[in-house]
Amino acid sequence: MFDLWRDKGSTAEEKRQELLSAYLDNALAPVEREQFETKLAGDPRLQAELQQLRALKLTMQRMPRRRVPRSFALDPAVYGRPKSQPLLQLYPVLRGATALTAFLLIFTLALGVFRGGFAPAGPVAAPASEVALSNESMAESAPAAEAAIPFEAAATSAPDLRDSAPAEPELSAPAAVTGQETAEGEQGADSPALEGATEGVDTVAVTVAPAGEMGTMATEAVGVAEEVSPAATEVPPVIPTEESSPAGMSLLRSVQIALAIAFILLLALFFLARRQVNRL
Amino acid sequence: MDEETLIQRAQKGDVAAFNRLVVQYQELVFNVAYRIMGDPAVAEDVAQETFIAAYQSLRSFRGGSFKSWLMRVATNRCYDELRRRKRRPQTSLDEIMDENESFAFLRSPNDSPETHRQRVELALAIEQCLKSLPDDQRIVTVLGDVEGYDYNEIATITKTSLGTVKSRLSRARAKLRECLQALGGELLPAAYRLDNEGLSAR
Repeated sequence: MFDLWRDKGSTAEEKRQELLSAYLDNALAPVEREQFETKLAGDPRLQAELQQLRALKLTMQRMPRRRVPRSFALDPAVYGRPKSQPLLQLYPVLRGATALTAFLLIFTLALGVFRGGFAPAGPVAAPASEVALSNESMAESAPAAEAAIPFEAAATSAPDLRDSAPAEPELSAPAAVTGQETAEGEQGADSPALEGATEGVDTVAVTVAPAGEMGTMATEAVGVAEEVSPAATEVPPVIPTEESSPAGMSLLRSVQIALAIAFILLLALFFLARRQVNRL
Repeated sequence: MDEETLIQRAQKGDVAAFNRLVVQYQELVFNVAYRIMGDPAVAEDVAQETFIAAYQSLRSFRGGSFKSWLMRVATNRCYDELRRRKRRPQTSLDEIMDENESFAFLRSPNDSPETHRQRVELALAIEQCLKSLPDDQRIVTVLGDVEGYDYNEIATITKTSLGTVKSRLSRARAKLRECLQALGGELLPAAYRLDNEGLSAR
């Protein structure tokens, strides 16, 4: 692979010699050969040089062989059965398996990035649809949800608003409990607030609204989404929907880890086998 | 028994079948090792290691040219030995002259004493000049010019690119020409005359 580096730095004279040598060995492409022969026809010095090279090649070819000093036959008593070298025999299989595992790993990583890019929309959309399923909370939650959605992309922070909505951490808690167990768990929400949050949906909706208006920092964007999801505690069908996305992500993560481990193991075996092949 | 059958039997553990292959190829392997290593005693060890390694790895041979496969094993053993010794074999002309038994194989029935002397001088000069080459260049010269492998075969045996083979062979030939001219300016024209006497033209 790195032979290119060795050829760098050939002088013009060396390249000329190379052309002469390759012509002698009939190793030039037809076009190159034709060009060289045209040049050869009009250059007696080049013809003499070619003649000398031909003489050298003939001399080397006709070097007589020495007789072997002894027999190199193997002693059956010592060398019985050829020793089994499983790595050597499995080399082509290992090569294919390593390549396939690498491909699958890259594919699952790309899939993870792709799904992760749409993840924030999931919990927001889910609660939004969940809200549609609820009864009296729907009217209040929907606007809150709509308010919450823009905040996914919001970059401004409003710590004051956060302070004015003391129920917000409590709202975050139920959201964490309802199953957004992945990044949302970072909220560090406490579940005890869950029960309080389930009472008085109106209160929840009201508190959600100002919380929804709040600009979000990175974690708050998710927190806002979670604020809308308290409604989910009243809508049991919502829970499975919320849980399928994070569950899917964790499954993908497990697959990625398994593939990464498999790839590393196969790569190690492949290099060991290749070393044995190269030592043949 | 044909070669393919011998190989198949040897792959199953038939040492006698493998030894028939050894008999067929041992002169080739020994001479390649000798030209690369420059020392008959070392060449003996390398040749033996080659056949041992070939037998033990025979199951990895999956068809194609057994001769080329064996050459790769031999070349790799030479590389290993060269790395072990970490020196280029350098024997003075006087030391080579002392190996009286090595000249017998140069004798041709129609040779006059003068012709024989020229042959010996030329052989010694070529050996000397081959030894002065860098290892990589010497190996491609032995495989290409001495043993007659083409560029593609040499590239496969030495696991290098076609461009590298061309480059190394060209440089080796330039160095050999200079070396032979330095040792005795008439060697090459004499060699050319020797080659034309009673030999078919190429």
